[in-house]
Amino acid sequence: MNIGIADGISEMTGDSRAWLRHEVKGLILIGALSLLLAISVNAFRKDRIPWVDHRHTIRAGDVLPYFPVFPAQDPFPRKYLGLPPGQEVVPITSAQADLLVIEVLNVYCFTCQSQALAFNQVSKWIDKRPELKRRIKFVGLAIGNTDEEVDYFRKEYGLKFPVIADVDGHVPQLLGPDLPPPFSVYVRRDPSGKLGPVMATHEGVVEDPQTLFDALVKLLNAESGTTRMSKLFGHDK
Amino acid sequence: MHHDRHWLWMISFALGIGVFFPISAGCEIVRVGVIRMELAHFSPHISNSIKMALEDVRQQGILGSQRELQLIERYVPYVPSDLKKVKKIAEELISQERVSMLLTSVPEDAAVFEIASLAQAHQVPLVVCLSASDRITEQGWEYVFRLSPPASEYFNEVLHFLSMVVKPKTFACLIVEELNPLYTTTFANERKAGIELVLLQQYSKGTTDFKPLLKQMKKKNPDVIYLISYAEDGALLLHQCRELNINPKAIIGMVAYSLPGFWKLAGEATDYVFATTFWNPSLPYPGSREYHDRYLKRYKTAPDYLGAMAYAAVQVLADASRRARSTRPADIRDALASTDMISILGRLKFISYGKKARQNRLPSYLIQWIDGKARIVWPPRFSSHSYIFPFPGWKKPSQASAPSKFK
Repeated sequence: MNIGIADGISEMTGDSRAWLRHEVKGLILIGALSLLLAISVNAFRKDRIPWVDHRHTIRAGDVLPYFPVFPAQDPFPRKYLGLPPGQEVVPITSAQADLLVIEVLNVYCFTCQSQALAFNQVSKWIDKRPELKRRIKFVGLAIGNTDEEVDYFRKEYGLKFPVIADVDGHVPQLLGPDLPPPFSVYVRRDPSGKLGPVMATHEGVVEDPQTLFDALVKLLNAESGTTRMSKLFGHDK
Repeated sequence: MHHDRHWLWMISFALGIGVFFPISAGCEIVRVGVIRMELAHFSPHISNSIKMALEDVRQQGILGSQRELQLIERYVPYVPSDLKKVKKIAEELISQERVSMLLTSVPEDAAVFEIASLAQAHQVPLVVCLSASDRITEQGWEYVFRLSPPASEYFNEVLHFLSMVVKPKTFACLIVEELNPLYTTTFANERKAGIELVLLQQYSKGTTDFKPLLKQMKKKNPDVIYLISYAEDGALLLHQCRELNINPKAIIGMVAYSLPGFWKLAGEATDYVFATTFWNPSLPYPGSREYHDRYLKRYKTAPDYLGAMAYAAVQVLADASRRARSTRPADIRDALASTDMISILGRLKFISYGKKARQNRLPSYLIQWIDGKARIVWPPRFSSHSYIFPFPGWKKPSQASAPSKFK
């Protein structure tokens, strides 16, 4: 004789029904968790479903993600960037600047060195201009380099801005894959006072300090929004 | 009658000025004292390249019709230099030959330091091409300009590659005695990077059996091996590494390993070995490929980066000579100081940074031997081939394993 599911349930005792309800709830929960996991895993697949966010290299229009920096024992980065004292880990957006220029580099990369020297010259010019001095700041993030390498690099090249070591390679994880040093990110303070909107990014080196300086002043005085650094550098034809 | 004589004298005088003045003012000679050292295998590329560059300068009319470059060459003996002789040669060029500038392709630090201090004392500009010692451009000498990189920057791209790709924990080094400690002072960078040096062994030039040293190295099992040697011992080292089946993550050769003829010497044992260079014909700089092809056609052998540096040095001399207000050393010096040009090595400009002054920043490139060809594999923007990492193992020899001599 065939007993249908509905007939089978109606034949159950109260305890059995409670047990069944409990098991069904469990199965629904497991199913929901599995679906959530599948969606997360999809992020690593090449054939991801379109409504899952793509990972991309940070670009103009993005907001700088929570970016912890570990300024180590050296008080210079804290003082220069105006970071709060006492905390071992601080977000880079705590920097006291209206325009923060982040250079992603490796201390041995030739073009990164050229870029650092150019930023350094601009940094010296800015230091002599009271109206700009506290508003534009530079920071280098050295992928794959230790504190000691970074320290030597700063001294050897006489850099006036801090460079923070990223020996474990967190920077590419936070700012995006295929981050080709030198890569610079220009972050503005928005009208609400938050340092976070990315106004522009630039891949490659601009060696002429005057071109860099003029571009930074324009960025500082621009309306909020985004722009192409190649246009400011005069590379666009 | 008296009146006619006056006119005759005036006309003769005017004619004399008109004829002789253009001749005497026509061509200023910029005399350049070139101090070289005889180096086995290397000197032909340097002297040939200087010759080719000078011919090109004349043919292309770089100095125009008003100036001409004249090179006065002198030779110093091979390492170790007789510093008294070096000093005497430099002083003769400055005081007796009255050169407007000096160029040296001597690699030995002590000799170049001597030449540089004399150049500074006599206020004759000197262009240094080859000597690597950092201190040459750390003295604040206004008359000394270096085209080639300092030793502390020689292996920048090696370290760049190690920090971004290889990420080694340990390394070992075998080095020929003569090149220690110039090269091993650069290991300060490896130490800063947290890479532990597990073995450093030097050997005498002329050693043929490296197996005892290599067996010690194999026991240490380093992630990366540096081999710093001349061509013949470099080839033997690779052959013996293969025999002992030493397989680190990467092998990086320095000094001879990037030379075009090295593969002929070491054969398939060279494949997958990395080396560092400052020039390769695949680089996108104006005249680079042409220089290589013309040199190969003329001399039946490919030039190396030493030859390319020597060629670029003459390009710098010509450029400065063209722009200088006069042929006086002080004016040539000012012209050198404002050099900003593109050469076969790329952009050349003498700048100051950190402790260095009047130092040209020359990029280095990492090559890897792949199927008998030296390919630039790093940095990525200049690479002509993907790198092969980790070391995939030794290729079996297809010919007799004994290395051949350089032709």
